[in-house]
Amino acid sequence: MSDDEPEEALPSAETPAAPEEPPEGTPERPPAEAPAPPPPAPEPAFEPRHPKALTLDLIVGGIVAAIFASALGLALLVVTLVLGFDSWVTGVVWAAAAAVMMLVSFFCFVYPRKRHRRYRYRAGSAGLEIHSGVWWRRRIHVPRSRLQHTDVAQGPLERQLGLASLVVYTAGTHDASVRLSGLSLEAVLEVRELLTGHAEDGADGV
Amino acid sequence: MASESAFERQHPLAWIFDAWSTVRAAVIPAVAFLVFSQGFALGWLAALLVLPAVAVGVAKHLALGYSLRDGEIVVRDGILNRKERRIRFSRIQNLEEVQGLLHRLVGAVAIKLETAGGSTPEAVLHLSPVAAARLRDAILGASDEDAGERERRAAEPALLEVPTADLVRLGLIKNRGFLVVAAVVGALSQLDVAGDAWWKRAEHWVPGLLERGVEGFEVSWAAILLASVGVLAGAYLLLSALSISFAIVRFFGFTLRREEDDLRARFGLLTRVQKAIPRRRVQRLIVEESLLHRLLGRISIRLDTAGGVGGSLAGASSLGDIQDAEESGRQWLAPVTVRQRLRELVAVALPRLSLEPLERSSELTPDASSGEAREGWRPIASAATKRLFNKSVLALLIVAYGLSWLTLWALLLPLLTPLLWWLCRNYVRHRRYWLTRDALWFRAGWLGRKLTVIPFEKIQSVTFRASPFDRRYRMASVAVDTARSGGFYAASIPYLDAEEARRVVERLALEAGRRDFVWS
Repeated sequence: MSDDEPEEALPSAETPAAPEEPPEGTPERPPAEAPAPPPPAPEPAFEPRHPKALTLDLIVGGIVAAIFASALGLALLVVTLVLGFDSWVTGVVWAAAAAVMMLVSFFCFVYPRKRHRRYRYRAGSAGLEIHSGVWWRRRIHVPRSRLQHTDVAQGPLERQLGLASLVVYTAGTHDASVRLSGLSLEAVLEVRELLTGHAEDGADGV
Repeated sequence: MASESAFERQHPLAWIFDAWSTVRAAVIPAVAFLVFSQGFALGWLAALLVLPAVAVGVAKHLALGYSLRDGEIVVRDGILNRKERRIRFSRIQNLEEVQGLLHRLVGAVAIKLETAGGSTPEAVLHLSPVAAARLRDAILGASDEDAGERERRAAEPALLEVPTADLVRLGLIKNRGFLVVAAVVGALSQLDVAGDAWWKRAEHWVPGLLERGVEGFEVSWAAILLASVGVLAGAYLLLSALSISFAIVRFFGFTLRREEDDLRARFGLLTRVQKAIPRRRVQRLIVEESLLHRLLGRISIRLDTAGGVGGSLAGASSLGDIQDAEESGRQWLAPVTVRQRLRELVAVALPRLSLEPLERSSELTPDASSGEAREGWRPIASAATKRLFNKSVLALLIVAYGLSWLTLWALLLPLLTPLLWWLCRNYVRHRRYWLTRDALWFRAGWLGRKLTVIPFEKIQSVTFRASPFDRRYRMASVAVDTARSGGFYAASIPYLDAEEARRVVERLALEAGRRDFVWS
């Protein structure tokens, strides 16, 4: 999975301990400068979401688009029946509906792809780090020592596709809960174990 | 040190407080009802409002009992749902004593007990001073301190004593007069029963006054101007007077003492409050120095603590409490004091913290590309000026356009553009941050300054954010989250150079991760 945006590539933060370590997965990352004390263990590499997560997003997008389409279709039907094709209002409504549908399609089908490509996470002894966002980019760092507790959650669609989300809770206010979604169930359990250091057999009510 | 003891009741008149809080909400409409319904409504008022409140208050009072046992206090209460709560003395973080006006009339003290969990006090008891002292001794006695040591500490001079003159200054600075006016207007508007009468009288009154005053005088521009200035000045004086009284009533005799690991603040004129400020639960420290502060040579220091009384309206027993609840866990370390005391007070509130930023407060360390090697105040990105300027010019143009519908003079507003540039430049120049070895220091503001200090161990998570506009300028913002920051990020540093922001975020995450966060 590589970032192919021509604008500034956001290099994922390289591990300060091993500047020689070849970047995995995102080849355009430049090595960062090494600040003072190097942490003992090498940082894990960044992971992308599971490919099926995109499927999930597209399914959800499809549902939303379908809802919009039917609502707009109904509105169009009503307007056309009432006003007929000679009124200019009908034309305006059709044009507006078309514009809305284009926007909706973009956000339901195109945007999820971009978002899926950009999404990265990293979990290790340093905690959880999530890179997300297409236009409004966001990277959140939650140190391991700040984890209060964790949830493994699966919505119905996620369950069908074998995906799950990890929600970690901190004592903060604005980011009291941080959600890592779009991973396979195994990956989520693995991440949880990495973060909390507890072995999970995956059978705890998930 | 008590053994099994029978359950005691609170102060015999404790039911008054419960009844009063029920009645209080309905006082103003009730009074209006009373005044304008010619007296016989008194009976109705008593029957519908006061008597039930008193009855419930008495019932609750009879149902509540507390007992001091070995190392814990047991409180039983509830009329229909009985509840027994046990609080171990060692778990009590905060013991607050409040004496409102009503308390003083009746000769009681409200004691609020707080533990680490939850935002409301675990127990609120209205006791006589003797019983309160006994409770306090029992609880504090559990911390292995003997009477001699306590006496010695009580004899020590206080860390801070705020003179009333400073409270006058605080009143001028904060100008809470508006609050009181708003309250009065609100109260007046609730007099709906007689509403029209009041306004009609006012309507006849004021023009009448004006007419009589102006009669016989030449109405000239100068006179009108003078009159308006006079009215404005009068209004300002009135508001200031109100604000000053507010400040004095709230903070009279503010005394800060150190008590073991905590700080204790005592203040209040009508409502006396004694608050404990647990130092280990300080999440953030904020020093305010607005323009008015600076003109009068003062500063205000407040703390954000995790938990602690003041987080909920449920425990409110005074106007000050309501304000505290709104401010959500904020405690005043020093509502107003001189700037010279800043260092000492910060050292007391956040011991073991490196205070270098206070010593080198005006130096700016140039942006060193060698990473964190050079310690010092770092500026935000210089391109921020341009961005801010663009934004403000846009805002100015929108405002000018909007106002131009009212008056064509508004079209002159865009002439203020050079002034805007100057303001933006200064705003950006005075923003700076410093990551010391144990805390994040952030300073903002030019005419009015605000300093925020967040110890690394209180940081819960760190976020790097870049909007599309940020990315265009290669900038980003860094946000830090702590416990109890009132719904927003505890600190947000915008307009940083993107690379620098990345480094800052990594360092903050690393430093926070290294230190354990202890809730209490």
